[in-house]
Amino acid sequence: MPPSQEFRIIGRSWPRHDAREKVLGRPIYASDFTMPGMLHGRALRSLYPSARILSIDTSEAEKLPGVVCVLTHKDVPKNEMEMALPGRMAEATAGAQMATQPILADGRVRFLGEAIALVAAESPEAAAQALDLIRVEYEELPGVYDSLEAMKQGAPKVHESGNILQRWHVRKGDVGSGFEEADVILERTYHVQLLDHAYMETEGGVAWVDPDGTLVMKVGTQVVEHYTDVTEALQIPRNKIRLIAAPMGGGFGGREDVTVEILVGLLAWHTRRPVRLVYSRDESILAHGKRNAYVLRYKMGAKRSGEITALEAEVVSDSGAYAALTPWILYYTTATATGPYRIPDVLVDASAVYTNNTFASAFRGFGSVQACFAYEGHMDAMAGELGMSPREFRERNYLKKGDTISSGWALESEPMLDELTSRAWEALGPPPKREPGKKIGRGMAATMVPYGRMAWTHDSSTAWVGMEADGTAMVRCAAPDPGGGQGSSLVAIAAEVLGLPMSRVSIGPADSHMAPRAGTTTATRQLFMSGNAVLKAAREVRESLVAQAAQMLGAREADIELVEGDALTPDGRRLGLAQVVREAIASGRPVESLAKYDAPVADTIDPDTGQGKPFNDFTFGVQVAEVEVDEETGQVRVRRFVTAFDVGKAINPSAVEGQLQGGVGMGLGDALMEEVVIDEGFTRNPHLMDYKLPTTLDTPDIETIVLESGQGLGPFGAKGIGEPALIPTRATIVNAVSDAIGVQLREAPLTPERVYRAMRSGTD
Amino acid sequence: MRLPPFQLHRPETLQEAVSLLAQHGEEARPIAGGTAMVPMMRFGFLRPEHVVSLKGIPGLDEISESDDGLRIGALTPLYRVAGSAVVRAQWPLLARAVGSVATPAIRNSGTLGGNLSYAEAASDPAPALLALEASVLLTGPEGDRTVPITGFFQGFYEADIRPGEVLVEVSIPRIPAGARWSYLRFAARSREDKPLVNVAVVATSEGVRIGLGGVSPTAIRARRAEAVLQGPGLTPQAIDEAADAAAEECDPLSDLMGTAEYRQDMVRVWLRRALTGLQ
Ligand SMILES: Cc1cc2nc3c(=O)[nH]c(=O)nc-3n(C[C@H](O)[C@H](O)[C@H](O)COP(=O)(O)OP(=O)(O)OC[C@H]3O[C@@H](n4cnc5c(N)ncnc54)[C@H](O)[C@@H]3O)c2cc1C
Repeated sequence: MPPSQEFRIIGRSWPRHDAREKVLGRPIYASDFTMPGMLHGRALRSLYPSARILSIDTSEAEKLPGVVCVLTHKDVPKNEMEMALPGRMAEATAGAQMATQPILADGRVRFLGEAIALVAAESPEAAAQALDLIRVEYEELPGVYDSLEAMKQGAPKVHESGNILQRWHVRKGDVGSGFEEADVILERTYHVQLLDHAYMETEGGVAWVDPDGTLVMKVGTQVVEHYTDVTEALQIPRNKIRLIAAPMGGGFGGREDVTVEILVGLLAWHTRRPVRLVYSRDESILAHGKRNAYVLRYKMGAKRSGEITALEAEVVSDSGAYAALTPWILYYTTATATGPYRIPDVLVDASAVYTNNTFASAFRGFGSVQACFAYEGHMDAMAGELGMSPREFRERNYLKKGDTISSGWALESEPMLDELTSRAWEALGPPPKREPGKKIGRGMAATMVPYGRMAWTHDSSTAWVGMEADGTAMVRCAAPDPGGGQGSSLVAIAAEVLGLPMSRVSIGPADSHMAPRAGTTTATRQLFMSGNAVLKAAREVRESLVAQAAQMLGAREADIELVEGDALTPDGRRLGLAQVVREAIASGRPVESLAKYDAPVADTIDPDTGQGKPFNDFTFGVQVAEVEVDEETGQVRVRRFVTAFDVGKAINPSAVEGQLQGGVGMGLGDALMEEVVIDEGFTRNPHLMDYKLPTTLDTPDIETIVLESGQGLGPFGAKGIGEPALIPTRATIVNAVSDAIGVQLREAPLTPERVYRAMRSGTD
Repeated sequence: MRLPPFQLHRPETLQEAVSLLAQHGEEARPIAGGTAMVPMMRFGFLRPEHVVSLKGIPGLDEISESDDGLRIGALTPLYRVAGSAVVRAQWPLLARAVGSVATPAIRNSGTLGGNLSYAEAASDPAPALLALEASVLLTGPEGDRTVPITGFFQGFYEADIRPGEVLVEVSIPRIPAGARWSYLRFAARSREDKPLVNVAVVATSEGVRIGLGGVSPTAIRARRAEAVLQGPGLTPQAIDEAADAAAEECDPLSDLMGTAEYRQDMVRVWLRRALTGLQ
């Protein structure tokens, strides 16, 4: 595109292409989708967190009228789902064993709610009744429910291989000498609780077998590529399955793992009839991956001047009963454990541990929230020891372009943290007056969060962009849109490049048979990766159209502009694109393009020291908040909140604002009220009566500050913002409350009682 | 979790409802808005084979004022109680309390009678009705029965409703002129949460009546606290003593909202606030 040309769509706020339908309640979610003759699937789930299964008797259930099939582990061609540790990643895991998870429990259950059997029936009622008729004989086994306990010798083994799932290390410089140089050394331990995604729509999908023998499924998923897990389980060829990502009622990492795909696929394959399987809310809370609970011990040394000399961190992540994505989540925590600070000497030892709790896995932030809570809590504590303000101490140590992070890699882009910090504090305004009965406090947190996959993974995305003869355009790209507006951004990029109004560009579904592979909608990678793929494809189409138009208008290619569906010459002549396209087709010129974008690639990091290039780039942000605490009850109210991020380039500013505000809303729940409470393996709140989420009344006005440095690796210099928006919120609020009450809080959620007790005890 | 199977009856008269309930005994259960009943059935706490819907019975959802006071039909949805002009003008405490229940969705479906029959300790309306000295009218196979609300809540999720009986109406006497009131609720988690503790106070020239929710197996009248205030009135010292007395006489449970000790401390705080903030 000529550099002179101003953006017509990019950088301006527009309603998402699918906003109207969503607001009107029109999209058909997987849970709503029906097929003629459809059966209803249900899973029988374990009643114990740790037990041997002595027998499973399905005979009574099978006899029940309306029941079409009952399946157990014996009916699964390959009953082990393998934790994907693809070859290039495996190098960095130093011989970690391939982790597996049974699809249906075989002889042993390891957490409450593990799937044991499947039923397909003509009605939901018959399916439910059939579950009651399956007899399972258990022998309870000792279990372990605390990650630190699980690491001890003699702890009950969750898996034969032992309870340590994964370790990661960082060794940069020499912490011994770093601590010697320090004037002040402080050590504290931080805790992060188990969290549920609690999206509006629970996990669900419909599967059927097409006449040609292809297993088709429509599932709410962030990962179209999960069809490979289904083909593995069923032992069918990979080209005999088609997976379509349905519209989703939220993702947040909760649909990053396989959810219902294999279960519903098995039932459809066995019955040869359409089957729908939707998790109930309690099933969703009990049996899909949670946000990992962590214990993080931080020891930091600094000089009186405020310069950090060393950091030692010991991190333990509770994986629950299975690995899922915990090893990779732990890597993110490890790689970002120092936060956005210049620290010469760093030692991190991180372990992920099996317990008999619900398995944990991806959750917006992917290990970054846990790290941020610890490093930002510790920055405040350290500032206190040094007698500096939290802001000043941070500003003294912020990373700058060219500084090395904990992996020894020098930052290639400017974090802009000083500007973010001063803009955020400025927006918060002068400190408030004291008010009787209230303790008012302010807090901040800064963060660096990678977007895109680890740099050694050879990540790529492909997209197809093509013109129709009526001058409209189509984008095909199997990038699921869990509600973040990924699809709309891809439409906007294509429309911008092709000089079309957005209404003339459509995007097809994320369908494994119909759209080129885009990779997962996770790791804040879709705008970066698929955005670049669409950009590349659209530019190729544009070139062809411009060449055709130049020929038709008798102008130079460099002079042709595409605006609002027309090709224009500088002297004001114009041609409709429909005409250009038809002419191009007639003359054999391409009007479509399939393009692949490859992320920059680096060598695998050294598994013993964590040194190397971990990620291609990071998003940086700062949040500040003002809170008030009721002195007599401990209740917290967030009065003001400012969130400031450098997004590189805002493709759609109102969508960026939405992401930033949504991140804060979600973090507010994490900081103040949300927790999945598991008591000796038994979940006490598998329902929204006792798993409380913030409402609009709990959410303060959120001010957003968006910097556009243009430094990102995404299209037009964009960085990713989906996950980063959430990361500092928990720390920001907890730091503000600690400031208010004068006692450092190191665990959350900050229920009134927790804050009340801290105020009462007066110690931390 | 799915609803277990059951047979739904839709009687059109109260008599019909009562005889259906009597006929099926233990196996039957009335349902009003279903906001409490449906979750209880989903969680498996209740498995009635016969569910008798009261919603189709005409005349059970009326609000009427007379010289004696106010009568509210048991099937009146909570939002109508909270929004009623009469209630807001004459019994503002009740309007405030009922309007505080959960969310608009729950208030639209949930009924006043259902709320009281459910007999949850953390009810918004219950302490208000205790402080207002309301009574309830029940009808059953043996005829009608009026029960003062102070005797209606009998235990943890247990109300004085005999087999076959239906709660028909709630009566609330007039509040003497010059009376002052206060209603405070403390939701510990989100704003739509049930109260961890709630306090309703009516102060007249004859004395102070206090209803407490969330801090005993049922909502209670804080009689000892009331007694403390009987002589001295609302002096700062008496208020402190009343708050201590209330903390003593309640019998809280620990749950995911908070521990028993915390609830006891919070009774003190919120009763003090209610007594110092009378309108
Ligand atoms: C998410 C949620 C949040 C809530 N938060 C609050 C809150 O903040 N404050 C609060 O006070 N309450 C709260 N509640 C409780 C709510 O107020 C009650 O569920 C509602 O008022 C019950 O009315 P209903 O008509 O739906 O009763 P139903 O669910 O129909 O019935 C409840 C019980 O009463 C019996 N019953 C109903 N009507 C009669 C009758 N006329 N005669 C005899 N028995 C009868 C039923 O058999 C059943 O046992 C909450 C409920 C939910 C689900």
